[in-house]
Amino acid sequence: MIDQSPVDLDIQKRDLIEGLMKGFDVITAFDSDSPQLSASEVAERVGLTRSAARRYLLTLVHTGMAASDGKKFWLMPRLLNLGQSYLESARVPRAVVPFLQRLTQQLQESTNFSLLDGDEIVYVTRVTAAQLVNAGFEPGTRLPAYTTTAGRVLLGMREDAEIRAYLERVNLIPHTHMAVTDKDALFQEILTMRKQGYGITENQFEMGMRGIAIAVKNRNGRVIGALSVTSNIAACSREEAIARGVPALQTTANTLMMWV
Amino acid sequence: MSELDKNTLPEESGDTHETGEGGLARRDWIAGLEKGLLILEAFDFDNQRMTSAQVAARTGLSRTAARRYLLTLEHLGYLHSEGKTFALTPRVLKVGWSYFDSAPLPRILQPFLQQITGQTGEAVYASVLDGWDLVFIARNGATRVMTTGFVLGARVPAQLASPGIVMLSALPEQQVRDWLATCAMTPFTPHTITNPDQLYDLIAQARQLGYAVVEQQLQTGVRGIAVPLKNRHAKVIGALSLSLPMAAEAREQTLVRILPALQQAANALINLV
Repeated sequence: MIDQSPVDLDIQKRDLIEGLMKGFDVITAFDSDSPQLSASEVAERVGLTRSAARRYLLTLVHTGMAASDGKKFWLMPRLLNLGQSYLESARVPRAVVPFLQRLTQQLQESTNFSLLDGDEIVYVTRVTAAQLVNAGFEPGTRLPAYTTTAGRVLLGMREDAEIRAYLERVNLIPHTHMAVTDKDALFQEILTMRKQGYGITENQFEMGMRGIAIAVKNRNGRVIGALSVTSNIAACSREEAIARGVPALQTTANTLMMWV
Repeated sequence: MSELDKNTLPEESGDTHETGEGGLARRDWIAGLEKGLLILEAFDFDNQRMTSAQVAARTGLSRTAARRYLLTLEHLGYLHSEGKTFALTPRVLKVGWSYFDSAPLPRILQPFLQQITGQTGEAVYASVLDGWDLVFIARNGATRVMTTGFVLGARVPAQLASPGIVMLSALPEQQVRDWLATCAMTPFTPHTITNPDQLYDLIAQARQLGYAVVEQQLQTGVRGIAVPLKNRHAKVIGALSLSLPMAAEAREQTLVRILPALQQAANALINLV
């Protein structure tokens, strides 16, 4: 369910710890539609017997990552510790903070750093501008790559065949009534982003919002993620937004190349 | 991660205990899951990349067992390896984020936080207690100095911040006193209170007032104001709080400006949480 990477041949199947693999499936079985689940419901979603599912759930309760009233189970904030261990230990999400701060100061808009994990875009750093409602994405937010500007820009860094294969397997959900749902049109848009060196989208995930994003490479030319700025469409014209945003994003990406 | 230092886990092979820790029946315990989660938590700022030997040392697993866990986690995409060292991948965020994907509380709070920012022009946070740490579960608004603030999921020792003090004030006195007597109180600023009695006075005061004002305990020049978040059974389930630079305003002025907005939101939430 989580895994999309090919099986590493160096790992013998007997070396894999089954309990751990199923455990992650049990955790991610909870979502906004079912914040509370019984052991039978988890069993059904994950493909375990009821008693096995119950054992996984009780282990999670024991570690403080879930709680239960005896019948239903739900996840606890302790689980957030795992995400924190990534944000604390990974270098890049912290290294980009001062650069995002400068970018936010320059543009007076919220800025993000994100990267692709399989077919999903994950936002790992955000600096917000002083606004009543924060634009952009909280660190940890995970969305289908096709729906956000940064996601499309990063897809564009892949080989054509890979992008096609991605579009083939993904189901394009229109998050707004203006979202691109035609796969060929999206493919062309992604290629255009690659060619012009930045991406801009409007009204694709949230109405009234505009995103501009640019890929960041390290000094070996490897793509390490994307910088993006989220702003209100009503604030200025698309041309103005490009004229102001793109050079600032490019300068930051160039500096990051030397630092990260 | 002090918890790891205390909890030396039994090794996979020599694991013949009748019960796991804390009384969970042995037959109900999925050792692989618990140990795997502990390994992920073992990575932090001071341990960004670890070899299987280092992971073994930090978790109490044998080197062979640790290696199997690391390979399994790598296979699942939660770790990547370079040579002999392993580091976390952003996929780990997905596991943590399952809490936000499922828990209703952060979502219920969000419009109220937006309302508080609208009224005060300040960044506002919601937090809950996890053990003796407070964990930020929702936020809105930007700070004037444009820092990143606390990211969601960030944790702080409860006694160092205003939301922690109000939440501690709802716990039984003896329980809090016992904990204060044993906990290591690291001074983060020259003003950090490290005397348990003095700290308990602050907690008792918050209980009496129904809100907490905490100054310069975690960061110099910063004042925090917090109110408890109660449900309709009068149980404190969290706190709403603001952090402000002290230089901008006198304490009384801040209270007059901020407190009504916080209390109004907390009152409105009583029937929703």
